[in-house]
Amino acid sequence: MIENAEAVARSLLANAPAESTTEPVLREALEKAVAHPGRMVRAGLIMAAAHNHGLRPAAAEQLACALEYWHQASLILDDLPCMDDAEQRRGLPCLHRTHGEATAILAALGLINRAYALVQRAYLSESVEVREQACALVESALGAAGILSGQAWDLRFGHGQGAPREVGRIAWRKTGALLWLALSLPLLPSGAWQRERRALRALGVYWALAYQAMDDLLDVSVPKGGSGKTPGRDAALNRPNLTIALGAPLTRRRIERLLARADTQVRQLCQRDPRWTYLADWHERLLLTRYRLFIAA
Amino acid sequence: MSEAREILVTVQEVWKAYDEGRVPVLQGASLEVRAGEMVALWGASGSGKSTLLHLIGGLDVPDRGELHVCGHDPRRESDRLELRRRHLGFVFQLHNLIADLTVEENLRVPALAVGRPTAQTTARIRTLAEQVGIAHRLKHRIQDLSGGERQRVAICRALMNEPRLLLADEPTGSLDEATGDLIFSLLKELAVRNGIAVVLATHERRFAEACHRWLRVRNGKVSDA
Repeated sequence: MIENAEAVARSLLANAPAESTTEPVLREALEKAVAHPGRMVRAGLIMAAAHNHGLRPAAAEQLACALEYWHQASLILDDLPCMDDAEQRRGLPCLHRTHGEATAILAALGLINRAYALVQRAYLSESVEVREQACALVESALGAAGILSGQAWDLRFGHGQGAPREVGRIAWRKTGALLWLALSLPLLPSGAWQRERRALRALGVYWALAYQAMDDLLDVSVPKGGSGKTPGRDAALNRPNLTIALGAPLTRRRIERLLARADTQVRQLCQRDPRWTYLADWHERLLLTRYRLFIAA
Repeated sequence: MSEAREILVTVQEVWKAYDEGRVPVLQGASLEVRAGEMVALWGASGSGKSTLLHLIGGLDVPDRGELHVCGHDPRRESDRLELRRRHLGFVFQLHNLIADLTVEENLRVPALAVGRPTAQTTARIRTLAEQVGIAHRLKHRIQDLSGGERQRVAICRALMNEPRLLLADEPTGSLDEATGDLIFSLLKELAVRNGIAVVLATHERRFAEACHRWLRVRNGKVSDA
């Protein structure tokens, strides 16, 4: 896995939209944005899916970079003063704090545009049907009814009722959108996505909600600097947070339940076809996140 | 090895081809592995060694033939994941560790998957890390380790859930000669000490000859060397 991670990190730098002709401050912001890619969970999922389901390595690399660019852009925009007004991300000052809000927005747009171009290149040699499916998936995940609605609900959450169900709906739109793309896009050419769409969607929902619930718990329980981002922002900004809505014990119980359901999906997928085993690796990684949060903290 | 030992792996007349049958890899391969035995599959690159290991490990399914592993049939096993998590350990040429996690966290992952109690896991990590000489590196991240150290961690991870069978696919393939020798010796010593059977895929004859038994994989078939 490390060989993949190192290769993807190199690709992120190589494919970055920071050209020699790019305005210098914007170029510096773009280089900073891709220099600290975090855990590259989505890229890792794509590389593993490609290896097991026969996607061309070049296409896998392009999709992996695209997903990480979208993810990075969503974080840059999410951290802005008009959104979460965060101070730090991945243990470093947010991009708008080092390069200004306008440059941060331009850098995010640069990453988003490059990501669309990379996805298009990844499917150039595929059938029209596959390309149409890719367009539809990207549109539904990242369009106005997808991650953008998630963010809009997030911003207006303080005016609503704040029920746990509402928190979950927002979490799926926000966290689930990119995860769903990482799960589905590399499987389009082989037809594996079409065969297992229902199970993969369920798995994506359980993973996204479990991950978001763990993040919510972290936001209210970890001191500043402990998680690499600004804690306590959800309470301060009246944003959806499952732990605030339910309390820590019920949040923990919900995380256990979601992970158990995800485990069942992974088992059933692996039973039908051993090529899904890579999903077990990613599920086990989430179990480690739970361990860190519940036991090691 | 005693003939009375339990048979852990039975592969009988197994066939496997890729690309809709156009690329035949295994053509009636058969072998047996007994408990505690270290068996090498020796052959050139592309001879089918890795495919055979993948079939034994339930990572792929044969086109036809019989397969039994630790009392289970990986093709029909109702819970293939359970077989993989509890009874088998894998060591690959590329160690497949999670780069941004520490050594200890990487070792904890397989134990979490089977719900092993935390205190028991911590003790097991400590024991294995001492056995392979990486106890001083437990808090270090994988990306800060040398190739040999990473492979030691990979061996520990494979042994975390006390498997009965270890499948090792060219575990020394990405290492220099001296480090490769060390890792092979370590693998053998740990297998003997813990009573674990090992199926080792290798193209290096010196490693094959150093196992209890070695088999040759050629033209999709397995024969005594």
